[in-house]
Amino acid sequence: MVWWIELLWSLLKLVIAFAFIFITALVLIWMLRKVMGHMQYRRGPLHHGPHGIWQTVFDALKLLGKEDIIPTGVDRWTFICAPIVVFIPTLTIFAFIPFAEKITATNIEISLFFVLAVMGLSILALLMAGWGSNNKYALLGGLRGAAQMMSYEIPMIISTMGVVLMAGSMNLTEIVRAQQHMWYAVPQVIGFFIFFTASLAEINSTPFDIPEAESEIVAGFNVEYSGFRFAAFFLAEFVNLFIVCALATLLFLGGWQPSTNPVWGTIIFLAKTYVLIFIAMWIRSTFPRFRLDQFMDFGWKVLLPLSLANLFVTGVIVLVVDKIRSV
Amino acid sequence: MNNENMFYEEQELVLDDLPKDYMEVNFGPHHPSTHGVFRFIAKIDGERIISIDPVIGYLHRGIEKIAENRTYNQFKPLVDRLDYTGALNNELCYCLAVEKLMEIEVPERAQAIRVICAELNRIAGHLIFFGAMGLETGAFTPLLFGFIDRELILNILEMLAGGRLTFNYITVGGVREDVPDGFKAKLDKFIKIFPVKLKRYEELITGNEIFVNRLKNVGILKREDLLNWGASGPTLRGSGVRFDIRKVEPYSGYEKYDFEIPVGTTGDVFDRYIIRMEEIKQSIRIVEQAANSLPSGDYTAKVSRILKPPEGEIYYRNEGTKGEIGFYIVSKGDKNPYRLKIRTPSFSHINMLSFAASGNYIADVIVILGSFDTVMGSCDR
Amino acid sequence: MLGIGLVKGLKTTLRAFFSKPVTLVYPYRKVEIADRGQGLIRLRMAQLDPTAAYKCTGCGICEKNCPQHCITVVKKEGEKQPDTYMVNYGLCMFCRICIDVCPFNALQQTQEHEFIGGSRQDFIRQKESLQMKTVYIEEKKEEKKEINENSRQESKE
Repeated sequence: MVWWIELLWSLLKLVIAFAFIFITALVLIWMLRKVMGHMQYRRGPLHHGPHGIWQTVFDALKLLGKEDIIPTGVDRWTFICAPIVVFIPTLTIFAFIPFAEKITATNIEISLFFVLAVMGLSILALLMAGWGSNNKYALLGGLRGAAQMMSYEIPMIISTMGVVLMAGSMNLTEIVRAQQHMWYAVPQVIGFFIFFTASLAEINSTPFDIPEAESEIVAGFNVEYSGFRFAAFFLAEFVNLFIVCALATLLFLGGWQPSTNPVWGTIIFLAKTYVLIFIAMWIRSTFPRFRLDQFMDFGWKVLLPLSLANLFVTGVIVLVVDKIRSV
Repeated sequence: MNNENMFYEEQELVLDDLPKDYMEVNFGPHHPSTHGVFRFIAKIDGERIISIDPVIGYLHRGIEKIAENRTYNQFKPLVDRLDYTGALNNELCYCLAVEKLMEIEVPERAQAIRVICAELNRIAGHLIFFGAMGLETGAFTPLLFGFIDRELILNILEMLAGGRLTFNYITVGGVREDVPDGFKAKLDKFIKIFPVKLKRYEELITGNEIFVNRLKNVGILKREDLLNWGASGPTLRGSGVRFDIRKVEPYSGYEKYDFEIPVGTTGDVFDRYIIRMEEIKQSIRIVEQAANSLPSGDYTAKVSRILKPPEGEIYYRNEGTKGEIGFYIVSKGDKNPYRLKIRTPSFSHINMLSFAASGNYIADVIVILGSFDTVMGSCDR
Repeated sequence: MLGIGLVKGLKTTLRAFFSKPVTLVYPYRKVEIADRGQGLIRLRMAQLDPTAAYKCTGCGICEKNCPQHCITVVKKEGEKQPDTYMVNYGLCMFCRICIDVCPFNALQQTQEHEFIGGSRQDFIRQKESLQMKTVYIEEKKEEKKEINENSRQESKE
């Protein structure tokens, strides 16, 4: 009797998490268009609903109604599966993010490790899309994307290790609990900056949006997709943005920290995440794009040594403080 | 086995005689950043370009042939459509050429009004360049900033000339109508507001390290190459050649105004960008001087309705927004010109792309093409 | 310092975020066009009266001078007004040469720019629909009043 109630309860939690993802993606697309519009002295969407709230819904419905085009000569299974594969890491990670003290879909001891490992799978979707479309622009975009994402994963992961050293655990809920007295953004300033920059590079957002550089290779790996397959890539990009900002909040900005009440905790967590999302959109509408080689230089020659130095210094300080405390 | 007739999926892989060549990518006429319908076929090796093959002619409208069947007055509205970002400069060159052929003297008030029109159009054209440069490097905001300020200029020109993109205002002998009431006040307001906005552009893009690193030391062109290929305008001045037709062969009263010519040092893309930004400031100086010292008098000379220039030929050139615009007119005494040839800067500059871009990255080619500031209406005519 | 240019760029965009946007929400607010703005060409009447005669005598000078050959004038013998006066607005490029050239001052430039049609035939206008009627002048006055009211409302917001 009990086991299938447990099963239903976990399935229900997963369904709520997935519904939350899609609503978040729609809200974020609307927010990007409005924020970018106001930063350019114009209004964003205006007519459907108050301040254009339903615009994204209608756009998604329009994309659903388009003809499903599969060009000749594509590698059929690769082409069809790429939009599905791009969603798998994002949906998986979402099940591990804690919104408040007890509110999380699943809670395991090494959730940070699992999240970082699964995030690396999104390179596969990019390569599949790039190779599978029978198009040179897509190939260029896909290869550039693979190079970019691989080289920025390492500084991102290493910069989170400083937090793990300070908190003493890899469980995301524990890390937030350990930030009761001081948010980790204060001692780990460099780590925060490196994590934020490297994660913007992971999700292909300007100034790092080289795989889909619109002015040179016209939407890069997306170029042969239309209709709902394109919508899948588009939505996945925004869900990735939310996940990355949520991770930054949990690791560096204290998550739900001032309150442990489930409702207030969720609201505070979401507010902090949306502040970081606003900063990402602010950067997106201001800066131009890096060129590929300058961008690889920045990743390998600047971010990687900085993150290793950060880890080393954090390790030394934590060891010394422990020794002082135990003495 | 004859491999060519099968689909590529079914070809047998014969490793010894696989044809090897560099990858050819076609940046087609439908592209977000080739300034109009321009196509080029690039051979690339990884990310580096080996060679570029430009293909033009997608916007050819046969303007020079149409000119043989129209009178001089009827042809004038078509000249606007050559370089449509700065149309009054084209009209000015055509009218000056016909006036020189017919030896008509233009009154001073008309000359001052013409200078105001030409310089305002130069600022408007450079604002499009600024927006397009931002778009090519990937920033979306400069485009909108440029167009918002261009609205101010187009409103002033609409009040004066009647149009926003194509005007038909400068006529042979003067201008079409006199300056309306309230024009000077609006122009003064514009001159006061605009430098503040220019400062905003500098903060947004010119000081930005990412932007500067994208543009510095990219697409360096040497002085001899530029002179051999017939470059002119800001593209030529970026490499240190101090040549501006407004100073070398002044026309329409330019010798009365006091302005400087910015000249670059290294010849890379950043220099050409900075030169155009400085030219906007110098143009505002010229507009201010011309508006403050507008002489009184007629706004047009007395010219007969039907223009019949005497037999002869003439080549006249002027400094347009992008470079040197030239009109070569052969007349046999009829109402229609016998032959009219138009020399445009974009045609010479686009041909320079093939040697300016080899060895650079793909991203750099787009930036170099943007720095030449070509417009296809002018290139294809 | 290394990152100062980036910070200044961010400051510019933030200032733009908190400023008032410059868009004019088009169908609900109309754009004000200057008096010389290019638009449709209309035939003047001798008086501002629906039954008055046209000033046009059908001489055909505008037809000869149009660069695009979009005016057609047909005049019968012995009459003072043209029988057919047809303008094809699909070809017209609003260069206003016809207005400059007419010896009787019979053509007037207006600022009408919003005309749509379902097919190419809808753009061929005959002499009746090109009249400069009193109704048109009243419509212009109404539009100017509306534009002034809207701009007053917006400056209050």
